[in-house]
Amino acid sequence: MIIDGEFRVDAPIQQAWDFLTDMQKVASCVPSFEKIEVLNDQSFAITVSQKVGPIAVTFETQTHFTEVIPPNRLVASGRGKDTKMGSSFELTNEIDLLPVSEKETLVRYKADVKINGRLASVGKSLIKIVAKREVGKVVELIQEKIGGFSGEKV
Amino acid sequence: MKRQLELKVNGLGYSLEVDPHRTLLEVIRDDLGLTGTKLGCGGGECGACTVILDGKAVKSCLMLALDARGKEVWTIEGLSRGQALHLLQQAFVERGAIQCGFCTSGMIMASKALLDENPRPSEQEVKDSLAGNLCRCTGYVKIIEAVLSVTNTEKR
Amino acid sequence: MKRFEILDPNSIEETCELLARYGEEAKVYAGGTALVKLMKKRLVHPSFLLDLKGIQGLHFIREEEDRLTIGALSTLREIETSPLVRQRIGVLGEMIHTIGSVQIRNVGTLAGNLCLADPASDPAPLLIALRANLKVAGSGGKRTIPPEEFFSDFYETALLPEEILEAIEIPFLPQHSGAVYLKHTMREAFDLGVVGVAVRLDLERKDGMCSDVRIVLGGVTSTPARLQKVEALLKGKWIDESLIARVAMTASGEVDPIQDVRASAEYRREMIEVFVERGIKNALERAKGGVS
Repeated sequence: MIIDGEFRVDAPIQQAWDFLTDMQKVASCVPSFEKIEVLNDQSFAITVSQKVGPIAVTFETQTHFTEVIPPNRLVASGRGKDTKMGSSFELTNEIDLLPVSEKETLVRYKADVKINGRLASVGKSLIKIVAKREVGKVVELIQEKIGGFSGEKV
Repeated sequence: MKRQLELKVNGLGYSLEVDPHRTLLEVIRDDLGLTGTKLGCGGGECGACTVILDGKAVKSCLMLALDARGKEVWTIEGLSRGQALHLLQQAFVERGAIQCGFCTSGMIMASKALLDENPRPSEQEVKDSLAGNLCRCTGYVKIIEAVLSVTNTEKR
Repeated sequence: MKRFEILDPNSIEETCELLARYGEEAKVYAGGTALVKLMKKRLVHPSFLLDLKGIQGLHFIREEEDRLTIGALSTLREIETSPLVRQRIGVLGEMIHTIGSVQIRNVGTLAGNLCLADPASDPAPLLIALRANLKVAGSGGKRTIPPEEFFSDFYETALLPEEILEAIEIPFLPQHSGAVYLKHTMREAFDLGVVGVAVRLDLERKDGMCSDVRIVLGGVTSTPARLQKVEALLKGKWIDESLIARVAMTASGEVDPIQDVRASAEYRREMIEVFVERGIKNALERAKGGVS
């Protein structure tokens, strides 16, 4: 499934870029984030967990940057597994940054997520709704943390 | 850890030791060898696993075996007496309500539970009772006719 | 399924103690149809199942002065076929009849359905429309939760980790009130509803103005949705067909329906209008005719 959108941040493009390429900072904007291990400056092991009612998943993921074109384009690719649930996912996230003004940047994202295994049997629609909601939260936190907030939410 | 399960099946008392995770369907089929009750979807949607528990039709694939302790279960094997078929079974055979046969025991047990409670159901009442039983072969018409043709003169 | 133990608490207190001790590793159950299904799919993996069926005093359907009280262990089928329910709150039995199949209703409980909090739950919107009360018991004592506050999200309720739903109270409908539950499904039976509409209408007197109304949708959003704007358009008015038609057209604007395997958001929007219109008409007829 594809989850895409765009949002603005109150920061010049270089500052936005620096933030979004710092996985520790980005991780602090993800509510389901549990822990991160930096493997090298392009790869990370990230654990995220999410709960929908009684169903809880913990994904251990490996993510790395596949395209890095500062300060405009960042593509991250990852795969994760929840062995308890017998589920896995693959994710490719394309992020494009466009300057709106000296102090404002537009961030466009397109995440392509494939979910395999038992979780997929729950209902892709429910997963999509929950995923979109989580993405919304991440966007809000990024906007807050990048430096003041007046950005439009999309 | 296994636990004691005492229950009656088709009129006979059993005392078994079962693990908590076993379903009633598994115990009926694997431990008691009564394979007339079928495993279809395993998720309580197709009704092939229907048995009668304390007079009520239930889906045995969603019931933990231990939840049947102290209770009385009737399966399709319990309907016939030796070679003599129950009226319902007879009706299904005569009316062509059986094709592959996989849904049949569930259909019959659900119908039996209905007729035990309501000996002269309307067509809608029969349909309501069979709403939880799927058949991929017959198109249901013959099944409903077979049930309606039995007026439960023979009480069990 | 993952291996687990079944524990048999004898009381609510014991249940709460066990829930406190085992936390996420324990789940309560009565009929267990939903829980066993989730466990078979390996979506939940409790190590302990707390069987509530041994607890005394939870299995009843009682008439009190102005309401019906239903214990947590009463099965859907028992409620559906109860003469008390048929006489006093017929719409409750009608709604329950649309749930699943006889086999499921023979085992599943009303309380269990509510605690699962499936967005397409049939009882949820009706209990909100009927102004029911949910009686909850926990280690901290007892409390009452109105159903509109009970459902917090997909499969999530306001129950604290050591609480269980004890009983459901449903007040009788006063004279000149009518209630109905309509469910739109793809097949005639068994399906979860694409849209469920519960309407409860109170007239100030027979053929009088609408003194109060509740319209609640199920199956379209993560939790039941009350259409308060639509209600406001009806309250205090003398209701006729043209008002109903106009009001129903605004109904879908009040919610953002989900899209899933059963229907698109677009289709749900259309069906919301159709069934809200029908629901108000039916409830009005019942209010005038005195049938509950």
